[in-house]
Amino acid sequence: MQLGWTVSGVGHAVLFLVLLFGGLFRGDRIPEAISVSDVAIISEEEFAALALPGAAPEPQTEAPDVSAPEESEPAPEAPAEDAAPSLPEATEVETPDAPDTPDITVPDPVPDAVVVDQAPPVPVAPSEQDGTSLERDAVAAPAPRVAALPQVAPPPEVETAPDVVPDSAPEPTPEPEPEPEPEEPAAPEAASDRIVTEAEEEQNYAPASSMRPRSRPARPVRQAEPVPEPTPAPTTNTDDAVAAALAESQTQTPAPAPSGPPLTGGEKEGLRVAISRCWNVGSLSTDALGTTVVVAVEMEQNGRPITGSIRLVSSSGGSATGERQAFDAARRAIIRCGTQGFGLPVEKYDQWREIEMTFNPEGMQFR
Amino acid sequence: MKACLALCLGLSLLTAAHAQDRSGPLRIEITEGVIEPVPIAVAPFIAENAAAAEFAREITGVVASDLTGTGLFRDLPKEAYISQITDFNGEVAYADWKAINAEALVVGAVTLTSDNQLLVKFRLFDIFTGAPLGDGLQFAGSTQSWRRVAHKVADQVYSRITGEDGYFDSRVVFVEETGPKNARQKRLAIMDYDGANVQYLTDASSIVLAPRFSPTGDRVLYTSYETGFPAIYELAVGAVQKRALSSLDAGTMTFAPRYAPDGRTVVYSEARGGNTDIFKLDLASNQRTRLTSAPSIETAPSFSPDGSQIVFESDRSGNQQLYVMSVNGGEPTRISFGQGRYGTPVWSPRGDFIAFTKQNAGRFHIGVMRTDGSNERLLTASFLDEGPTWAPNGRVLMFTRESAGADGQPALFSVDISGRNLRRVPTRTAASDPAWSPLLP
Repeated sequence: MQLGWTVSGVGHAVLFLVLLFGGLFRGDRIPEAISVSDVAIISEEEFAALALPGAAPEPQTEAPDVSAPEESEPAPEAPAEDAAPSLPEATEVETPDAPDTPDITVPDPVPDAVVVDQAPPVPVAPSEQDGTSLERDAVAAPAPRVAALPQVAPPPEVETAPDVVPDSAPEPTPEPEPEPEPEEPAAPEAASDRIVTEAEEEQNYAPASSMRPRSRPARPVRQAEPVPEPTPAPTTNTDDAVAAALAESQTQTPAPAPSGPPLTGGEKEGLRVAISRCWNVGSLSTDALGTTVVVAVEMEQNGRPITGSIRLVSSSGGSATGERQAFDAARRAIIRCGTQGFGLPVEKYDQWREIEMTFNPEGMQFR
Repeated sequence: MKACLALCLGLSLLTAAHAQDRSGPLRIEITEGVIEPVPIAVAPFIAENAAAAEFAREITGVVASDLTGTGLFRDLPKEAYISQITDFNGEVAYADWKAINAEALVVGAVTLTSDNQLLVKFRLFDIFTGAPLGDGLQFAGSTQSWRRVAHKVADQVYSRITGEDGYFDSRVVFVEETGPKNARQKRLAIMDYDGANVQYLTDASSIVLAPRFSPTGDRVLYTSYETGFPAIYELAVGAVQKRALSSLDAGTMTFAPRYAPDGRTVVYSEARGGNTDIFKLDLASNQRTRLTSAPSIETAPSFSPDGSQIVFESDRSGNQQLYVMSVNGGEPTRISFGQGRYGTPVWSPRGDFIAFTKQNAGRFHIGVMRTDGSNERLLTASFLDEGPTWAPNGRVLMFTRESAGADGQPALFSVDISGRNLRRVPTRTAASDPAWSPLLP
């Protein structure tokens, strides 16, 4: 009994599998491409008309008339005649006259003795670069510069003879401009946080500028929060004058341990970005751009720097001149952007009462 | 469980210790800044007598033009001034200048003496510190040299603000080109760095190429086709007298000369029998020394500022690249390895960079690299840029840019070493092959 059930079950399973996946193993499972053509239903009369032998086109046995155009039609001219005038003749090298300098206010200082009053010799082709032959230039073309790369002709030299000669009008060949350039390019005066050279401009498809994140809004002015007063010095528990003096000096340390909650990462970043916006390194010398300076500044409670407190703590990487330039730039940045205050939280004043800023221009040298 | 508690306790102690270490000032590091022209105010120079009024106006313009032409400064418009400078020795209202965001103030005065001498004095003020930036200075010169006096003032201002030497009181020798492209006439000309005061050193009777100033600026080496072959001549700028370098053999082609930093030696290229090599010539003894002897082409040599090394171009590797060798010759070291061809290397007067021409992918570039070949940086890209020359302070490069087409003309351009401030140097006609002089005395 069980054997029968088993045989039946296996058989059905095999059947289902064959039905489901049997097509995968068929070689002709890829359907042939179906070609579709438009058809039209025509009547018997139309079919008969199409089947008539006389309706077939007659083969053309005679060549078409290819008679020469009339005289009035201008024949295309050979390009040689038109192209030739642009080249000077070798025999037309004239004896140079005195330099024509009508517009120069400064008198020509060239003395007569220097002027060679004879026809200049035909210049030799500048083969000094490749050191090959010394062939004389038949068309007296000016020699390229010695310092240049004469064997490397500038790419697409578009002044060659045109391939297509205009029909009749001997107009000058239109000169394609492969690279239109502005007459007097000048660097934009807009501020930038990076240097993009002309060689890099074309690869840069990123937006030229973007909005800087706005500085965090000024916090509402809180009621005068008393500045944490120094801990009163113990004066009653000891008679030791030295200990009292020591305790006094400890309470008057200029940088007491900050109390209160520390500045958050966002608050520090806001301060850093605010100063970065005013740190102009464009006029720094390369020496100053290699100098890192650490500048200390004391802050007022309203977030403004105390200008007189700005001092150089340390420097590295440059000469004394570079150090001075770098420090001046850092000081200008602190003063310029601190005019309106840096928007630091007043309740954390102890944390930013004094700030040490490290100005590292390493990444601003050449990027 | 115990381990977890111990870990929490340890972290707490670590945090507490860190908080204690953070006592003292808040510390932040700034690594990103901005690059923008420094706003300065070049107040109109005061004419201390009526005869000096025109000079005062012109000198003010040249000083402002020099400074703003660097791309490092922006001259604030006079209309924005809150207070006016009417007395050279008067008090400076720093608050007024700070209010218009001026970071520096230039104050000057001009006097024309009875013996036709110009006296030009100036002071520079740092608005943010509220103090003079350096001492006041006075220059004296003839009325003909008023532009040089103005350049001197601008050099001082530039130097005090940037910490680098200026380059305004300098000249450029170049090849002036006239006539159609296929029959170009060329002659040597000399001008102020800004294109003013053009004077001619040769006529157009023969093709001249590649002038180079001596370290003192009083002589110029150049290549001329006067005899039919390229040969090197030396020209005294003041007397406009030239001489061929006599020790060079007639019939050989000599070109690409350049002075050594001491001015007593010249390196140049000589082509003989289809081979081009670099030679050194002692100008006093006329002794000639071969520095290279490879079958390839070696040319465009340039000394390092200390005179100990020479950079040049060579195709000994199969492609034109840059090499550095000792001033006495020997095995050179290749320093350029990028794609394309490198040529016309020029060592910076500061010794920190080598400028070059590069051709790659159908375009020409002016670029700079460190003297060991590192930090290559392309500053320009054009149909044809070539032949860089350094400003005396090593901060700016001038070069030839030629436009495409039958009407293409070469012109002089300058660019800051950072790649900013690309400008065309005004010339009356087409011009090429600039060579910058040292600062004038």
